[in-house]
Amino acid sequence: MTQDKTTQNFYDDIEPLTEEQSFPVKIEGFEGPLDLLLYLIRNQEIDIYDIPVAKITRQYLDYIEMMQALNLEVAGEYLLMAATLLRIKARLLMPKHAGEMSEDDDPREELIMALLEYRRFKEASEKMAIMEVKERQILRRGDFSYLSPSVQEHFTVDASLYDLVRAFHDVMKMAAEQPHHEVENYEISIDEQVNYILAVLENQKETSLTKLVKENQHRLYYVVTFLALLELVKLQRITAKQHQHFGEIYVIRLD
Amino acid sequence: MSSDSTDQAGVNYNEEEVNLIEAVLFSSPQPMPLKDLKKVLKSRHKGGIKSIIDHLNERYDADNRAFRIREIAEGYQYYLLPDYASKVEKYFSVERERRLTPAGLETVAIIAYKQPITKGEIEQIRGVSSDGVVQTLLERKLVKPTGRAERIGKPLLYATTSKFLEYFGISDLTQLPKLSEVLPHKEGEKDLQGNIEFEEFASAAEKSGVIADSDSTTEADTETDEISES
Repeated sequence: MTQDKTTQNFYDDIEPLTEEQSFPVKIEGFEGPLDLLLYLIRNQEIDIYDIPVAKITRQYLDYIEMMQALNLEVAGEYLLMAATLLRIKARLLMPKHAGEMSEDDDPREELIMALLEYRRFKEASEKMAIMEVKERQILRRGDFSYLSPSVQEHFTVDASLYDLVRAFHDVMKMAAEQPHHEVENYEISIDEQVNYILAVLENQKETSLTKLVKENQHRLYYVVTFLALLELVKLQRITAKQHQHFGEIYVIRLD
Repeated sequence: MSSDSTDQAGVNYNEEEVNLIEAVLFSSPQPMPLKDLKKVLKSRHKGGIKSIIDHLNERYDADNRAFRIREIAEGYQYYLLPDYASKVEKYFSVERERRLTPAGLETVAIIAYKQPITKGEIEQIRGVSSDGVVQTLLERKLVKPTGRAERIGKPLLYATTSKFLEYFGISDLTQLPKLSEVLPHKEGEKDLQGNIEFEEFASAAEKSGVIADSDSTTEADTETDEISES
């Protein structure tokens, strides 16, 4: 930061603040330089219409330095404000020539107006946050509409690979009940099952996993069907969704 | 079937009409706009839709029901009383949007009070770049572009949506919290202190010499009424 040197000189001549005067080091999210300035002003019960620019500038720069020391990225707006503060301070330090600077010509005015304007929206947004929280406690008629299973938008959770595997595991448990001892050649391929799934989804947009797999089939059937599903997901022909974790998995055709 | 009922104030209600409004509202997952409700009734009801809704809510009160109808986003909608909402929620996984960040709240507040407003104007008030946060608000459909400002670059103007009203649980913008005064007042600044018909209001206020800032709603409404009467 090239500005550091200059800013340093600007407030070196000012008496260092005592422990009590200095603002407590506090890292919290500020929404921008105006927010930070308001915090400094409010924290010290400073009259916003009569900001002690030297003091505030010093604290502001301390804060920026601290952020940099902590390797936090300091947005350009913060630096711009630092420059603005220093400019105002410089103007205040300049000797006043008689008649040249009237009461109205306070170099702080623009900054004060910006702070006041920002503050009213900040205050309004704080009240709106309370409204937001209150509203979240209310359950409205439409909040139930997600229960309709026919609309894809209402599916809330993307089924992960883990969910698919778990669902597959459940299906396998169903198949595990019947032990097989014969060695048979099963005439079933992934391609076949891919076509089967696509055929099922031809006339309907979606189906559930349990509906998709036929009951009482050999384990191999389920394995192949599962592989076919994964293949279709990979090809982005279908997607898998569920209402909630551990819920039924729905297979949805992607157009 | 009795066709009429009378409320405590002695107003007569056509039972058929009351039931019809109840049925339509019960079936609507979204807030039912007032203008659509008006179409439901063939004849114009004397006390208006509002009185029918009040009448229904009085009944629910009297019967100690778990739900009520309320005015929201320029319409009406059923909702569960808070006591029951928390209980019902255990059985349904009600999907809730994430809360807005402080930046999001700040920005949507500025848009709500100052609409229509450009991103540049928002950034000027906030003192920070607001690309991302405006984008988020757009994606969440809390704000929408409403046109372009007549100046160099024709920047987009943003305004709040009816989903914004729903999200904050209000029926119209007049129910937003009052903005504090900024003194000294800047000339030519026009704030939307929550009037839906902004242009109408602004021009009315202009004509009547009222500064369109932080007036109470009722005042603003009377002003508008006076103008339209004269």
